[in-house]
Amino acid sequence: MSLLLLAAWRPILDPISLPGNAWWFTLVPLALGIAMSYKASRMTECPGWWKQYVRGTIIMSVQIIALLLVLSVGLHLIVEIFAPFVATELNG
Amino acid sequence: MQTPTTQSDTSECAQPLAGLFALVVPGLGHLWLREPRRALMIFLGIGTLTLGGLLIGGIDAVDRREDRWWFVGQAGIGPAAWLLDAWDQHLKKTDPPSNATGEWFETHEPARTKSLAHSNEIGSLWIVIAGMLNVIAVIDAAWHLPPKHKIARRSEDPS
Repeated sequence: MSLLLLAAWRPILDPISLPGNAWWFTLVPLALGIAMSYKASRMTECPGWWKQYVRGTIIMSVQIIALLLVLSVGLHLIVEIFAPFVATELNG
Repeated sequence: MQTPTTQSDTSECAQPLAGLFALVVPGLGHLWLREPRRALMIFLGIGTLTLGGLLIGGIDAVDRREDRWWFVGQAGIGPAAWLLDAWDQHLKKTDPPSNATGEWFETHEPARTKSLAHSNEIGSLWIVIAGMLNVIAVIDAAWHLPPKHKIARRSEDPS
């Protein structure tokens, strides 16, 4: 994003403008926010809660990102390889 | 260490006030239940997702009229969703007309920019996820052990 666009951006009033390949990186704070809220809702307070919470949040964030990467690879294989193969076979 | 004196002190039960507080402000229900650490992290997590969604998609990411079903999920964060929607509807009045040309923009400045494509989708999604996570927090607060101060008080005075 150029500096000019950044200077013209009004936070909240205007949507952000990111280059095409930068949208993928919004997954990291999204996974972190989901993990933070979910772990806080599900983990009851106990001695050593903070340590367990931080560790649980990090693990869950990594799991979310890893699962989505696996899903994207799987979908890519289906769309780019499997589906054309099936179409070719059906058409003879 | 204070020990609970009755069976009801050790078992989860309905906490309607806590559920109501959690619906009004994310984390407030758990604060009422005397669990400040969980309350703080619920508030920060849901607040981060909501603010992040607004920064990505702009205020147009919350729109009850144009994106009704997205708003149903977003309403889970509580009255804040309705306030954001009211603000968006108010700002819409300064939007350019459909036949606006460059001359219109020389004399007018829209108070907000309509978000489209990735910005709108991802911004809306962040706030919907925040809403659904707050629903989980509300359910947890509404069915919970009694607040810790009530357990402690019963332990001190068995009568």
